[in-house]
Amino acid sequence: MKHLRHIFCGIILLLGSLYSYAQNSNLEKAQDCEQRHSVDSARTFIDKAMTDAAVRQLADAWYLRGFIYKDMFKKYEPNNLRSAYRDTAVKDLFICYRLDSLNKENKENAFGTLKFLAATYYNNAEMVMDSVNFHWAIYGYNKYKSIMKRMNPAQNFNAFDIRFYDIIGNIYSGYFFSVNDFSVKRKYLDSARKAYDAVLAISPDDYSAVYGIGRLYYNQAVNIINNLPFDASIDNVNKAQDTCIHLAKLSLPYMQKAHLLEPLKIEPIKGLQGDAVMLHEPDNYKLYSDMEKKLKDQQAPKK
Amino acid sequence: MLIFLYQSTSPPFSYFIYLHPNGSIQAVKKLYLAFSLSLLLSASAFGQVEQVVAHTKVIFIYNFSKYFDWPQDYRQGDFVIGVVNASPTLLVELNKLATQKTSGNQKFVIKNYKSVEEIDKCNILYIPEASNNVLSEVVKKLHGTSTLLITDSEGDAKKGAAINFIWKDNKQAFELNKSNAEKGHLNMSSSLRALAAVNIE
Repeated sequence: MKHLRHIFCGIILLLGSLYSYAQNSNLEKAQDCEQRHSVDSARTFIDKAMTDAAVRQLADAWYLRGFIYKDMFKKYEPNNLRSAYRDTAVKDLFICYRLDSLNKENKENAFGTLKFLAATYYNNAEMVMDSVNFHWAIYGYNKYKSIMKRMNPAQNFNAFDIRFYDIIGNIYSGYFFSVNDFSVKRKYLDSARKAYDAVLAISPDDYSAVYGIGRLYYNQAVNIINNLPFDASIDNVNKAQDTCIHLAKLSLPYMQKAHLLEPLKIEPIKGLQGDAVMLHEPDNYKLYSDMEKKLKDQQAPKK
Repeated sequence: MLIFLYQSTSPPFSYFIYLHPNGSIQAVKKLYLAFSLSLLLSASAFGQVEQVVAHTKVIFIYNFSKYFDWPQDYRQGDFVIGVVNASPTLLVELNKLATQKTSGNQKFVIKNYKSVEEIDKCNILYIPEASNNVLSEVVKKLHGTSTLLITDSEGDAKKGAAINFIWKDNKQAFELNKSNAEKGHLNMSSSLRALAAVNIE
């Protein structure tokens, strides 16, 4: 009976060792495949290896899995903003860092790959900014920021935010100009406005955002009139004019501020002229027309 | 003068930040291909100086053509809209109207008169504000005709114009002189009076 018990314990130990060997073997195979660029096989082996609780305590194993999933993302979904491979890679690399945060080399490796992944979020966000997926662009940018912040909580993104939302605002303004459909135009106007507001929340004196908003409202007013059909009734023309006056009033304070911020720029002065016409303020129109002329004379190359 | 405002392209907004996978930041112009296209579009719109004001006036003029009945001899051939020294923008808008609309069976024909002497038979004659100095001469010339005279300067409705563009509450509006409008056997729809900002008997 005693012998049987010893034999049973021996078998258990043997099986445990074999299982452990198999998991370590899977880990080694995963690493081997990864080095040979067989990323699909590497993924199969690493997923098997990670089923073992002991392996899951190894920072290196998490790093390897994060690295393999990063390569899966590169191979299959480099342009997919919502790639599950990349999300997994990011999660794994942070686990790797958490398990062995004091190890400088481990941190450098994990953070190096995380920086790469963060950059890909940013670049994917860039790609969807030339489609209608404004929200996905923000999603990608926020993912980029959240990764970078976890690595360095003290990092300040204000300059990046301003640049990012300024560009988004300008891009959506561009779309606003280029489409004719009014409901689509309205959508682009709202998107651009949101982006510029995000800039102004950080930097209230950002010229590009201030002027951008003023220009959007002014041009929306111009579009409303120019898109009226010739057989519009006089009642409808009056309603359109009411809307234009409302829009010009929205535009005016931004144009005034843009002019204060950049008094030597022609564009806000032109905007102020336009608003003056829309609001039928001939004196202001003359004031800004004269200002524009004077400025152009000053800026003209001297012969 | 109304203009479209175009995008400022001054740095740092003329490029897009690209994060290289090694973490470095680069500026690329890729995205701005699409953006540049929109710039071109808005820049071309920038050339449409005065279009808004002109477009509004042409809509009014087209509306007026529907509120009047001309005598038989004015209802044959083309429906002529004459302008004294029209601005290029106004001419563009009027010609657009002529290609898109008709007055009943009559085709719109736009005539730009450089002087009072040139004015001949037309259904509507519009004198822009800048040409207001010829008003009295034009009124004399149109005496006894069925031309609807439209002007664009304060007080003109009392100087012979049937309709005079004015600004009311910051909006383009018009005043109507009924007796001038009904000279020359023109029949005016009574509903036009309700649309006028000012009615002069």
